[in-house]
Amino acid sequence: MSDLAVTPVSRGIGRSLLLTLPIALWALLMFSRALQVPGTAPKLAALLTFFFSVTLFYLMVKTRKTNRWRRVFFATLGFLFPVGFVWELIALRGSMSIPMEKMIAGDTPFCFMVIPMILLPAALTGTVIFPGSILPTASNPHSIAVMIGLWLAATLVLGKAWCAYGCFFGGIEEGVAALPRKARIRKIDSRWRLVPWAVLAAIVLLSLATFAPTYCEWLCPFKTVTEFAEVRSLETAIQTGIFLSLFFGLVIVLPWLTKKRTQCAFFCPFGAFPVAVQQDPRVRHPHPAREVQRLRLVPEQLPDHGAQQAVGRGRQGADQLHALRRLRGRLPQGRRGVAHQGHTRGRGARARPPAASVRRLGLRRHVRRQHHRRRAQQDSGIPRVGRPS
Amino acid sequence: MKPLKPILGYTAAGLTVAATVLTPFLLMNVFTRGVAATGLRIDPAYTGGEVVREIARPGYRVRVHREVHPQTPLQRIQPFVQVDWTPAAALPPQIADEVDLDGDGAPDLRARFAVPRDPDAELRVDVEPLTARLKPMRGVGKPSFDTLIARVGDSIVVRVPLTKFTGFRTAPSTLPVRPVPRPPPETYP
Repeated sequence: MSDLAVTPVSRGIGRSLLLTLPIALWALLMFSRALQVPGTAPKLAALLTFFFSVTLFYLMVKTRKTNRWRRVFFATLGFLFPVGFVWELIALRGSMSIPMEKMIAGDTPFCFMVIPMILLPAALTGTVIFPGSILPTASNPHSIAVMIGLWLAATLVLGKAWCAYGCFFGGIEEGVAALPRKARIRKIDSRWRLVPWAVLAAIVLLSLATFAPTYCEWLCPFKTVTEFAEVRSLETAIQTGIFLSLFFGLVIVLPWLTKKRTQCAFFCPFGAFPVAVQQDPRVRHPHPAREVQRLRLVPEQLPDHGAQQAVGRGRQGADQLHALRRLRGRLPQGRRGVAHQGHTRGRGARARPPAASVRRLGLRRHVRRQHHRRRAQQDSGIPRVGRPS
Repeated sequence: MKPLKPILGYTAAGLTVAATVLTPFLLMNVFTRGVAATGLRIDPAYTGGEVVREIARPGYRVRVHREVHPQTPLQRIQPFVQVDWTPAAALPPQIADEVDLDGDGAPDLRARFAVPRDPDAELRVDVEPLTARLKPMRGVGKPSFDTLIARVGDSIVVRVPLTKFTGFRTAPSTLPVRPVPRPPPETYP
């Protein structure tokens, strides 16, 4: 690390506490129900969870290292949610499997992953193809209406942040991906990112054709850590084998090898779903080509080959826009002082300058690039790009 | 005009936070009632369909559901009709009932099964069809959703597969239907 490295400026304690206060009140409101449950153990568990969550939020605000504390929260959620859920299932049913009696009685907890599959059958026939209950009951509080309501609110408010903060399952992968020091598989073809869309389209159509939640019956990796149909036939044994294989392959092995959330990135249809439903022109990012025109940039001023290609291909997205806007010095005020020299990659004749080695997009890396661009511009005498008049 | 944009932005952000806080507590009941008002129902392949008639027996009742057919050619169930014996606690140790499914006065099936006192005990049923439109069942447990016997809540549920897609129709209009009371939905504070 260079001696120019500067730690992000942390906030003061008072200011951080003030910023945490609304979230603390909100969390208290959310936990108020759990705190009314008779018995010491539930109250203690609720208080522990409350203090854990609020402390992490405080640390996010105080240190400005959002991702670090988000990862702690998310991995903890991912690893502990199945513990609580499975404990509840075993207490209620005696096993993780769903007996037919519970399905007939409508006592299967509704999972948000089912939502894309029930939409078309519900719209066309008024029938929900899931063995749950529409409204909450004493034996099944995780009803379809409640879960759809929560998901709808979360999607409208959080959007794709659901995948980073709200999803019960993604934390397992994130926790596993954080364990190894280095990724053993670094290059993954970007076309694999189209697979979730294919899975989404396939399960929506197959669910309509077969009138059954296809993904839940055949493809969900997280059945392994939640619940699955009782193994009573060869078919259910094959299904359970698929669940286990997908879980260990996509949630354990590949995240370990790639340091990425491979199930979320390359398989999960639900990740594609909020993107699909959020294609609202009012919240869409401006087109990079138009942004280039608006900012009065010429192609030589684009930050890198990736951005040039993105504009050339007419792609749009936050990454490309961010890449363009960082040319204009539009980074947040608090981040302007955190640039550092970065690392030189390679040794001897193969050494590459740090600016050339930084390719990935991320806030700190943007700053590094901008910093080096500025220095490179100063060295080469290229005038700095100013704001449009 | 310059400060207008941030003011609007912060106001929108504040309102969003307020909506987030209010949603689970105030709007959830409204939302669930709204979903219920849409008339959505769970697929009868799971629930067994609505009850169309009840037959009184000494100490217990036999409920006949509307027959269930696959909604699409690829749906992996065969047509069936569900019959419930309820309440399970009041049933004699051995059931041997003839049941008239379509209300024409003639029995359509003869069902025989034991009712163990242990609610977790495995159930087996024999169904002898008395019309050509039902398939027989011999010592059947719960191999699939369309052919089974199971204890669901306070009822013994038997699903008898039908031989044809378009066979007889259970006639809801010929006999009075006694609505089955449902527990009220749990409300949120």
